[in-house]
Amino acid sequence: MKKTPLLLISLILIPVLILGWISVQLEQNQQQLVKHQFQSLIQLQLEDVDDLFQSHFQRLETALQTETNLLLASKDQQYSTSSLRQLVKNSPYIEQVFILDQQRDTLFPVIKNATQQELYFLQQTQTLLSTKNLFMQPQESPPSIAAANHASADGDSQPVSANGKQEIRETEQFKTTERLNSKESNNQLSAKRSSPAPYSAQLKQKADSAPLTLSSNRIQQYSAEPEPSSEIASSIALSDIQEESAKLTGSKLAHSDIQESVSADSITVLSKPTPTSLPTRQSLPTLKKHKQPKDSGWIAWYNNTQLQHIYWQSTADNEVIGFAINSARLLSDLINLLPDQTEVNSNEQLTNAGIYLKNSRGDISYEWGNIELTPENLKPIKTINLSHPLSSWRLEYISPSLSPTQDRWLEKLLVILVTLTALSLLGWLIYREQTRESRLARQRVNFVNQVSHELKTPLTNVRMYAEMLENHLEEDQTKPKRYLSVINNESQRLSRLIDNVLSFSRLERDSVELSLQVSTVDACIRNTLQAFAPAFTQRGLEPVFQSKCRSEVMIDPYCTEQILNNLLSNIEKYAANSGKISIECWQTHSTTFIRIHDNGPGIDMNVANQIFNQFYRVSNKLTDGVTGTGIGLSIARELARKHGGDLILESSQCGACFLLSLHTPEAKE
Amino acid sequence: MNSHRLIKIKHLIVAACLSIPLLPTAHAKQVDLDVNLATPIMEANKTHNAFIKISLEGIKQEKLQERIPANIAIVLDKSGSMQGDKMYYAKEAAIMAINRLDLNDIVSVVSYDSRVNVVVPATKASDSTRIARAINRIQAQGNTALFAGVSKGAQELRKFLDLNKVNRVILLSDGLANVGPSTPNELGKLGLSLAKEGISVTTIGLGLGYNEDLMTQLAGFSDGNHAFVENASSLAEIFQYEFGDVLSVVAQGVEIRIRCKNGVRPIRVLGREAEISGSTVNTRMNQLYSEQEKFIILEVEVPAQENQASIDLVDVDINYNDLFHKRTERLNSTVAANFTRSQQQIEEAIDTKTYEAAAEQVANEYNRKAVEKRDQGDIQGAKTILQESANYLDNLGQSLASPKLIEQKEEALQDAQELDDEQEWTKKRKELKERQYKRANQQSY
Repeated sequence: MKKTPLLLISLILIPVLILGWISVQLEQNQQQLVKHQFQSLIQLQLEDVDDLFQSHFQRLETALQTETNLLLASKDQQYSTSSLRQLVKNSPYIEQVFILDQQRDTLFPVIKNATQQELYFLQQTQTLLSTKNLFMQPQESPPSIAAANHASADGDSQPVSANGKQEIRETEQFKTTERLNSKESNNQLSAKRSSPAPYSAQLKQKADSAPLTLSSNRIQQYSAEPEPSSEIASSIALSDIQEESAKLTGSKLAHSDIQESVSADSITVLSKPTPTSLPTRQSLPTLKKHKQPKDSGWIAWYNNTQLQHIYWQSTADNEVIGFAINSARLLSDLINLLPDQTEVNSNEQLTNAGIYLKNSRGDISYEWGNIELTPENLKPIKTINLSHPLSSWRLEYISPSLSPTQDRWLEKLLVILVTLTALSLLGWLIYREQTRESRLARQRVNFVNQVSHELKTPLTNVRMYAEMLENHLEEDQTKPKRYLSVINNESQRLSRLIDNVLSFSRLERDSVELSLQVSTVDACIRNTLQAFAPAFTQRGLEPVFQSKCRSEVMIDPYCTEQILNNLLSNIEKYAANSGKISIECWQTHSTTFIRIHDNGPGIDMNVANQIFNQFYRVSNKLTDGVTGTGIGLSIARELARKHGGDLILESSQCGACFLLSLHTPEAKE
Repeated sequence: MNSHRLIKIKHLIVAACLSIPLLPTAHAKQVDLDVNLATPIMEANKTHNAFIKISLEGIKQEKLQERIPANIAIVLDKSGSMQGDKMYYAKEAAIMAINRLDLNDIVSVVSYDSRVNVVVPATKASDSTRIARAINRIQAQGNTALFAGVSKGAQELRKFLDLNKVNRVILLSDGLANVGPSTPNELGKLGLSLAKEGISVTTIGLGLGYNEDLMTQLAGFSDGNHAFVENASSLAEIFQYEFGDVLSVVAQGVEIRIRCKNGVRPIRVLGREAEISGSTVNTRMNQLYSEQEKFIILEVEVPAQENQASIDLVDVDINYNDLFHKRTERLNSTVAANFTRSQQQIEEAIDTKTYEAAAEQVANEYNRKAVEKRDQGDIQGAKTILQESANYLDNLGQSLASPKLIEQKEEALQDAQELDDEQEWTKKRKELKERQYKRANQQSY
């Protein structure tokens, strides 16, 4: 009875659990998908920032290339110290300029005749500048990593973590420079002198490829630098040419430039020819030849744990012009590329999230976004390292959670709950229905039991009085005697039937208890046979009993007799007129075996087991029309098993052969 | 050849050509250049250390309504420590100051805590009510991203950056920079870079929590002003002074080039940063204010000369951007020294004012060193230096009969006494730093 609720519960729980599991799985997948999408979105967002920085470096490169070109233009055999210093003085980006010769020895600044700032610079970059292959492109020199290693190996005061990957942007540079040069020639006439655009504005303009406006205290005109082969040519000739060109420059300018500066220019040029002479494109077509920078690159290095940058560029003469960038200014410019809070709020991109720009020490350099929480307890969702030359810096995306999925959880949980409730309700209804059915069935069984019990008492009385009457009858009153024996027989059969019904219900309730007594098996068999004797005689059956069990054992005679009754009544029913019934009985140790073998039609061995099932009746010509309850053999086997034995159908040549075994321990005195 | 010089020479020639025939009607100059020697007559046959004072002063404008347009970014610290009165007074001071501006001026307001907010992007100052409303919405919380704040402030200035305007970031902070770069060196570098663009940064330190080194470096490298405000209620006053300064700028981008002649060797420049290279000294000031004297003191070594000799010591070239006439102007001056054996002549010739100014700067250097010593924990050493300074001031004060120097001596002695107090040191240091800064830069307030 307890199985039903368990079954029902599992019937309800299993689908619900499966549903739950599937939805969890689904949700997880979806969350993973969303997370993935979110992550790639963040990745894009962070990469955008990186691109922004890279484009800043490109603009810076362009600006610095312009400076280089100006320097080259004003160069005459040697770079003029004052123009280099002027550059440092005027450029907000450049902290120091340095020049290396073909052998990568420092040409400027030199310790002799250096300003304090230059001295400091030399001191700081001693190792860096002596690492010569830093200023070459990797393909021309041993791998740059080796260079960096070398540098850090001999310079422990200032570890050079430099050009792990110096970017090769030659083609790009080529383009930009060319563009600049062509723009230059167009713009040199229109360039404003009176109000120079601020430096930062220049940077922007360059980025937009707008016309260049150079600051007023710089010479506007320059073209490609002088032919480097001038070194081969005799220097006197060269200077002659340059003087020539200088004059030409002056006269050219007279046409184009405002008057006052022209006069100044030409006077200066004439009085001091060499340093100012500028061969221009127009005046000296023979010297006009594009000299693109061969190599260039960024070097990132550390000075007192602060990241510093150097941009270097090798000239056509295979010299190197390098610019040390003002690190604070660089950071300031990068910060200015990033949004402030007002921008963040207006485009609603970083709701409940923030981005940190962290430097190589892991300190926050700048942060933006809309996140209230303090960052200490939060791990970044996404971290990317910036590209060279900021490779030791990183961007971190901070957000407390991927919030939008929580609602859907609730939804799923609700669906599962509803299903669970519905199924439970259904289960409960089924259970109620089922228990009612079984209650009714139990009531019916009880009723039959009760009735059987009620029948037993009158039946006993009937039998008792029939026997008493038989004793009172005279010997010759054969007719009444025959009637009485029929009454006796039928009432015995009825009492067996009732016993079976009661045993059945007892077995069902599992309330059969053996009452073992000291007795012999023989006695039991004889008693039973005696009861069946009139019926057997009537049906033409002749029991042959071979007894070998006369010793006293512990046995439940009532139970044994009931088993035998069932077997014998089956013979009586189905094997009428088949002659002898052999009944054998033997004992081994504490087991008693009883074999009953008739010569009737027998039982098919295929159904050998089924005949012992409740309510099973073999259906054939023989059994059809014979009434029976279908519980006899089942009760017999159950009782035999209760008694520590079994009841089996044995195969035999003819008739049916049952073997009954009983546990019968020897009687103790 | 240096392009810059080329143009200067051009200007020289142009100026020369123009000025000869037009001398009487030449336009009024905005700036006066004076080069003075503390000891114009020196003892012959002896090597001397001499002080040269190169002073520049913006001339008072005849027409009052004429003023150089200003481009100002106010950068306000709104970190948690600013909560309450400080924030209230800061807002009030900023709004009051902005109300002084007129239609041609451009103003922007940036506030920062851990993050930066451009409260008012660069805009004409005319819309003062909207600006005031935006300022009043600022609420204090969070950390101090000073570097980023200044960066964004400068970026707002750049939108309308014009060398013919007064471009200035006014930074108010009460705490240590703790988001982003935070060392005086880094901020100094930023200041230097901004100065090259013609932007100067005025730093106002509020309360006792800020880093005075950082604030003076930032102001110093960009030639802005610096002030220490202990009590937030006096912020309005400081803002008024500052705006007064900003609105009285007459010249910007002042390049000073001093060439020492006749074997004279430059030793040091007192007060300001300068680049000494061989016999040349280069330095710059971002701006000159109307009716304010700014000067540098150059100490030189003069080689021994014969009796009755007279030599030029230095040749001073000044280049500046005349904001009224929107052109670059150039000034030139020299200073000569005479040599004698007469002690009386020497003493009579002493230029008291110049000597005073020089002594003030020398004492200021002493003061600076004393603070350095005190920072190292050497209180006694610091005291010794201040005592030395007091002695020096006393000697000179007596011989020049200068009450100003005597007063400064008293101040040095007072400072020496107050060095001991650990608790008051934070405040004292801020005062000293502020005073040093003001002396070195001849700040008007």
